Amino acid sequence: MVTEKDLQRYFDGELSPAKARKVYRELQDDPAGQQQLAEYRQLRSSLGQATKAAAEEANFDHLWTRVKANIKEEDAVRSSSRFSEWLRRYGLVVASLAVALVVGLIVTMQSAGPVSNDCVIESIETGPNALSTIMTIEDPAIAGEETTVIWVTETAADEGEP
Amino acid sequence: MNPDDQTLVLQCQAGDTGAFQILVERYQRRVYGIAFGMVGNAEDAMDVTQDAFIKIHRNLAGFRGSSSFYTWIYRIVVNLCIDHFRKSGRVKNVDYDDQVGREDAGEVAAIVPSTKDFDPGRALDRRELRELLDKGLEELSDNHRAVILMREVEGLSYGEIAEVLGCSTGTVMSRLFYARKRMAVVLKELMAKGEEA
Repeated sequence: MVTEKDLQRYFDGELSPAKARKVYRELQDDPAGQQQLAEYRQLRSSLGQATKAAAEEANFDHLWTRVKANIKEEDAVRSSSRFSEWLRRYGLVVASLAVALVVGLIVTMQSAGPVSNDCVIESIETGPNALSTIMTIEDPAIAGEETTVIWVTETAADEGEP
Repeated sequence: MNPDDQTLVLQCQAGDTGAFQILVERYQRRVYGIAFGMVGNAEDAMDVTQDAFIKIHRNLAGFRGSSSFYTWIYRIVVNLCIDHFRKSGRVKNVDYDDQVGREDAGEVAAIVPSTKDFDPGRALDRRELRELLDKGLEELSDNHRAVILMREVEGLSYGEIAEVLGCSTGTVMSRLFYARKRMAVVLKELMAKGEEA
């Protein structure tokens, strides 16, 4: 007589080919086993038909549209939360770096002082109505070049002077 | 030529929504079939199907192909159905067979009445049969229902069912054995009641 366990495995195709052949032979002289096998078949067929019929009646026309809409919504939320997460993680670091950069720039500019050109006064000559100054200015923007400036300042004639 | 699941999964992981649409259309009926068998009504089954595909998409990035794609899908669907029962307060998770070892199938047979006279196709139209089967499935625990549906409707092997449910093939065998017997008995009782009425 075929055991319940072997019968089930036989029905489900879970036995080795050799064992399945053995069970098949034993079933020939086992009416109870044959009856049980018939019941298994009947149940499988009924369940299969019922589920298939339910799936056939179902309308899947809008399923993909709804799934797609949900996916898009989730993607949007995910992108937004990714940015929030990035801000939460790195925002403080980035803000600190920006503040440090600004402070650094201010400090550097202050320590360098105002930009000034080196100026050498060559001579100063005075006349009755004018003051002339000759000086050379080294231009830092143009290495090695000097500019000579002659500065003439007219002085106002004394009142009452003829 | 239709691309196989693995190819489509890789395309989905690279952000191809069109590939995911093909997977949805390929599996929608099977997912719905399991969901319908589990939850027992069309509206909830469609909701579970939709949620299943959304969850599948959400978790695709983490799918490494260690299991086949469809067993992974079934795992998601079965878990969603069980969540659905929990939310609706319809939980049936008593697994009688878990008290019985895999070698004790004979003992299970001894505690379950004979089903020799059961013929579910007899004098029943398709709708009546479906109602009876739905009622029969309702009587089973979530795990028993999942096992019998995956085996009888989807044709999954014991190994695949074990993978989906995260249990041994021995447990699958004993659950399946119990579920079949229980279904037969319940259906027989329901039919007898129907004949009396």
